[in-house]
Amino acid sequence: MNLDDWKSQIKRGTLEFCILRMISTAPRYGYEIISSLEKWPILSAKESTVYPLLRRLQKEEYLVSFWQDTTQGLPPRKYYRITEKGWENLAAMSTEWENLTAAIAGMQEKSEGERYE
Amino acid sequence: MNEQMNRYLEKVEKYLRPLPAGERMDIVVEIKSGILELQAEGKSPEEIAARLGTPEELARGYLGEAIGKTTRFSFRRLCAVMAFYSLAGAAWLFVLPVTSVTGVSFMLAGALSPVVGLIKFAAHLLGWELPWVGAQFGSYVMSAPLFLPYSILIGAVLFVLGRLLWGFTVKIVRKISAAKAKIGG
Repeated sequence: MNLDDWKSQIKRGTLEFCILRMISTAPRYGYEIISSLEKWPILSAKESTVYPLLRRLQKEEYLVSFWQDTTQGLPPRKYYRITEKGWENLAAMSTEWENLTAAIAGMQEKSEGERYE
Repeated sequence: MNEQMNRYLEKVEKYLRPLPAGERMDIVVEIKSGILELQAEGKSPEEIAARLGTPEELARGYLGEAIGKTTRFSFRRLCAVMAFYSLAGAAWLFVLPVTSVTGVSFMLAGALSPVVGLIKFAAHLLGWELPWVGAQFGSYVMSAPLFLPYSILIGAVLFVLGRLLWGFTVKIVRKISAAKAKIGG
């Protein structure tokens, strides 16, 4: 398996979690989410991934959306806000995520970071 | 520029045709708002086009999400699968309709078979024989009491076969969307 495939699978598996996390701190709109993700190359995702994902999260009732006018003469933005069900899902995902990172850290400990011949 | 954007959005809307009109509208308005946002940031039309991908790619993101999530049978999903691949055109254009249509037909036939068996059996109890319903192998004609379990068995086999074909259809769709809608960076 090449590294790019692996990275894209990590992205695929974690994007939902990252987006829910981002929206849990404040209501956000699609373009804002995409530009924030761009700050981290491993997570950066295109419009054709993020918009449909937001729509699915909304269908699954983890998010609700509302349109809000802007001040600077831009068209209205579609904001997403996390729901009660979304909070529950986010909490469950966070637990699993901690399990995963703890497991990975644990493996490293056993080998003490040293290579054997 | 805005004429170009409208043409782009019209195409996206065309590819989204399997979805209900209200949903389509909502999607297009959100994409439009995103494009205007990019324009306001001073991005060139070429940069914007490169980010969004072709209208087909963008629409596939939405349809892939709608289609590939569960293997449960739904007629709407079937229509969405067929309509999208008829529009988008793909090597699977032949295979998918065949597996989905035979899958559905088999499931339907499987469900009907025991019903027919029951009708023949009920008629037999009431003293009527229905020669136009039943099973015949060469000169051997199966009696109504024997035909009932036989029809249930055949029905079950057909239904399972249909379910497998449907599962196969969904698998292919998933594979295609996974292969083509790769997350870009």
